[in-house]
Amino acid sequence: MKVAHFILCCWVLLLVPCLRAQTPPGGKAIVPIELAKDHEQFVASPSEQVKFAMFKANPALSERVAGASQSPGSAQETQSPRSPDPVQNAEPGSQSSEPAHLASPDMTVAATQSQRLKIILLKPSVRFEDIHKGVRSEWGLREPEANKSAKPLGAEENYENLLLSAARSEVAPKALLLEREKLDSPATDACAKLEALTSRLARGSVNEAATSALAELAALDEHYAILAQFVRLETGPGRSWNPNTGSITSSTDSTLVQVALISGKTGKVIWKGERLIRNKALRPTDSGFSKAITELYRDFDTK
Amino acid sequence: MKRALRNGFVVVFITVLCPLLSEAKKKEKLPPDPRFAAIQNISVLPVVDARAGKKAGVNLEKLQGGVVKTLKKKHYSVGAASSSGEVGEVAVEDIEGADPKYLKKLGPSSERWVMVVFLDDVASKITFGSTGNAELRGFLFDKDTGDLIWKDRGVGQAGQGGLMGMTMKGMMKGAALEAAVSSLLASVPKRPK
Repeated sequence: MKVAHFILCCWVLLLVPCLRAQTPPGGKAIVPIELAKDHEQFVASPSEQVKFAMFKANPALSERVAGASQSPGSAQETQSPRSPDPVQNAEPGSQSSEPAHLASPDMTVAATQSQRLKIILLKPSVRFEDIHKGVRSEWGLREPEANKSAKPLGAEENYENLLLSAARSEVAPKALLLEREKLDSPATDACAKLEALTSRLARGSVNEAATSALAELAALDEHYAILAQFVRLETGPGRSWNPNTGSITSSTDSTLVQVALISGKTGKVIWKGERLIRNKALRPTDSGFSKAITELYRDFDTK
Repeated sequence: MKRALRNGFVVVFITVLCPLLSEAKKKEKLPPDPRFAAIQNISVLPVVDARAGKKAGVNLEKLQGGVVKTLKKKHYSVGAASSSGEVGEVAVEDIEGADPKYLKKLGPSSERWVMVVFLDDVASKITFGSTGNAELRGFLFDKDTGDLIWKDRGVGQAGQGGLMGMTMKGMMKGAALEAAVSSLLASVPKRPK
């Protein structure tokens, strides 16, 4: 037993120096390689990488460098005024891809606010459609029974309110959201023209009439943009099963939600979202409807 | 003897009655609307893809051909147009609220009656088998008068249950589209030969 312990201890003592962590004075990560001298065992890192690591390790230092770059008369500021990045400012010629992490949060917010869009929330358009009766396919499938569900699946206002509240909660943090009712009369008139075209605008189709109305808005303020929302609830022949032939059919009900953000200045679609839920005409009380709207706005962007 | 007379009477009765009934049935099939009777040639424009969501590949030319074929079965003189005309891209909203000025630019300038068909949706899925759904909507205009002669929507459903049905998923879209074309044009009256 003692002999075994002795052998084990010797083996550990021999192994430990080999496994010992080798840390350089700067605390940077090490790639152990087999070289003759200790100082040659550290892989040389580019200066940008070292600076980045240092700023990351010491946020106070990062802030001081950012503050210095903001000071008037700074040579770096004149060279890259839109870059608050300390790494880039320290070395203007560098091509580092890391600097975004080091940007001062206050400066980023200020820059965003200055370029913020003023999004006018148009009244959503809600359409109920009913397709009745299917036909036999050539395989002799039976004619499905017409869907007898109540045509208005819910009050139009309920759908509108859900869409508006979703837009307010999802869009407001990212851009300045304006209520149509609170605008001045020239803007309200232009919005009224656009609201008549909501169903096509929501899918990103901007026709001549819409372009001229958007130009009217842009003349008032070039930062104006509109958010058009459209819901189509379609009911049709339901699902069926014929036990004699084995034929089956799926319901033709569907729910379509379309939203588009369109710039007043350019008349172009900035962002577009679309959700098509097949086989279901969702009521405003259905959780699926709220979920669909939330998912719709998930990737909302004003760029 | 009596039996032979009775059989003979039945045969004569059927021989006389059948042509009368068939003639009466033929008379019912005449188009009730004179606007349909006046149609000389319908130009079917290329099918407009008005689908939302992810769009699976559909042969729109084949669909246009299906519409032409079905109208021909109803004894209309029909031709497939290669473009939508001067209007360019056609939207459902443009067609629903079309004014005569817009209609003049729709389809070939030489054609008076033009039909526009929109493909609203087509999808197939696997359940306990496989199913397919398709939706179409169509409009027929008289460009000279600026009137909307006919409009309708058609839905087609197809499907087959079981393991066999699952293997047939690839055929469901086509079957649903065929059914949708039949459903759409069911309300177009059949013309006499």
